Amino acid sequence: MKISSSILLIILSLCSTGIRAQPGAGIAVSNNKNNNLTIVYDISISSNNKKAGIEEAYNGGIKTVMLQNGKARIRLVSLMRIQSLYFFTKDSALTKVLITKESGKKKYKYQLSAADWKRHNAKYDSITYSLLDETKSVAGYTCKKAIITVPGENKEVIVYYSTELKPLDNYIEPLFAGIPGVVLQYVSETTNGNISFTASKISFEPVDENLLQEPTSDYVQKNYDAPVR
Amino acid sequence: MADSNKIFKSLQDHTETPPPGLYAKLWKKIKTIVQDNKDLPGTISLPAETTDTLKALTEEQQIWKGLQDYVDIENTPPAFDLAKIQEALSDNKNTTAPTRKRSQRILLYGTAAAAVVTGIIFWVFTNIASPAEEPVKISNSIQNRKADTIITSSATAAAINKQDSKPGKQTNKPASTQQNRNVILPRNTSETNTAIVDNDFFYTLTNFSLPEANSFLESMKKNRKISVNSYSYVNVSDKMASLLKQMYAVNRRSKYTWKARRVKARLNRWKKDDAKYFDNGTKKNPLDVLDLSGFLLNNKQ
Repeated sequence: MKISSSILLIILSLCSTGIRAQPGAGIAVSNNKNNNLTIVYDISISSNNKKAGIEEAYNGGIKTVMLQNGKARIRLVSLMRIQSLYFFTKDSALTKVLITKESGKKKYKYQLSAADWKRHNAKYDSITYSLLDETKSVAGYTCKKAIITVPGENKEVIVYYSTELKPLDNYIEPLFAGIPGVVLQYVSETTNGNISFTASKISFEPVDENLLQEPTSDYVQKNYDAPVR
Repeated sequence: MADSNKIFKSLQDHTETPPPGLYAKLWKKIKTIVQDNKDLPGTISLPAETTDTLKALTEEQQIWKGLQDYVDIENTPPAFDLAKIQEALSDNKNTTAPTRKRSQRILLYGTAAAAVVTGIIFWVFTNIASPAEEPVKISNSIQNRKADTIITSSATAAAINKQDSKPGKQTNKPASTQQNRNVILPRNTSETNTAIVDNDFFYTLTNFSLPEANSFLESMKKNRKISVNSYSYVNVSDKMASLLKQMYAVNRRSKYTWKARRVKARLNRWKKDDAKYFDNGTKKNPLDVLDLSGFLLNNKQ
């Protein structure tokens, strides 16, 4: 009887830790499933302009989020430019962020510390989230709707997130830090049009390790200057 | 009277000036005859005032005076009609307005024709004249295809070299680099596979040589997806596709048209705007949706 009660106690304690770990953001990528995660977002831009404008150089581009072994990279590929963000961690804590421009003759990279990165995204400190019950299927995942309000910018972003995937670390997408899941679609609407990012491919396969390495040659190192808000 | 008229008409080409004083002499002779012969009826006698007047006139004038009562019955002038005369006068006045209109029309058409001619000359000049620019040569360094730039190095997707932007011109490059240039956009695959030079689509896509551009545009009609590597691709939107097509339009001499050059200038302007907005420190990041929408949709550039 004593044995069975102790087993029950162990099971209950395991369950409780699992429940505490699920909700909320900022959980490091510890799950085996999310250790290797690649999400491809298709960028779609619709504007009120009848003639092709500069937005067409970004329309049809893609954004790829890659996570693997504690490293992360977000890469934007468009006709206009290719730009990446690299995240490096040590013991699940962010140590370094790189902003690189891979296209053009003048490739460059900025190196930011964790504090710099936090300061860089200070505009998202005061955002509010409205979680709604509306659902939608994106890339085969049932997603819930949420509205993010950015008071400083006076803007709203509509997002659809899946709770089936573990939320990413807060530093990867600071805008989605308060979303209890992985955002698979988000739309920024203005009076002149809208930009939407929609997940078209989600993969748990490992990617080439070189993709997550810091780029070294051909890049001009620039100094980070903190934005004045 | 009619007969006398005929006589005058037939004689009009054979006129001969009478000797001076003939008419006066004749009258004098007639007078003396009348005075001498009292029995003759006085029908020939002229009224006194007429006689005085005739005396006052010269002989020649007297002749013309005598003819002033002559009437040509066959060639009678039209009856005097004041209304008709006034109408004719008013018609003459009205003809000035159409004349003015016509001259204005001529001026307008002339100006238009001059503008058209100027336009044609300008078009011919811009499209036929070959600029004396040196072809742009970009190094075809293998470094561009290092692993960290994430460009595929597969045998099928060789690099497109940035080369002469003028159609029909070829750069003189060693054979070893020529090999890398040729294999673009293989048509036997479902996707358009290509590598990019300097990792920059605009440097790559907007600097094709003409045959390369044509094959690219043909391929793009079928599949609007450009694969960078197995992880990245770009979908080309309809508007962008038509813009690229315009950019490679050529004239009969295989030179880029004026419109093509204008489109290219527009793309370069976008590129400058983009660099000014996103490459100016780290304040703005294209990966941030708010920064991106602010730039593209709110005209903050």
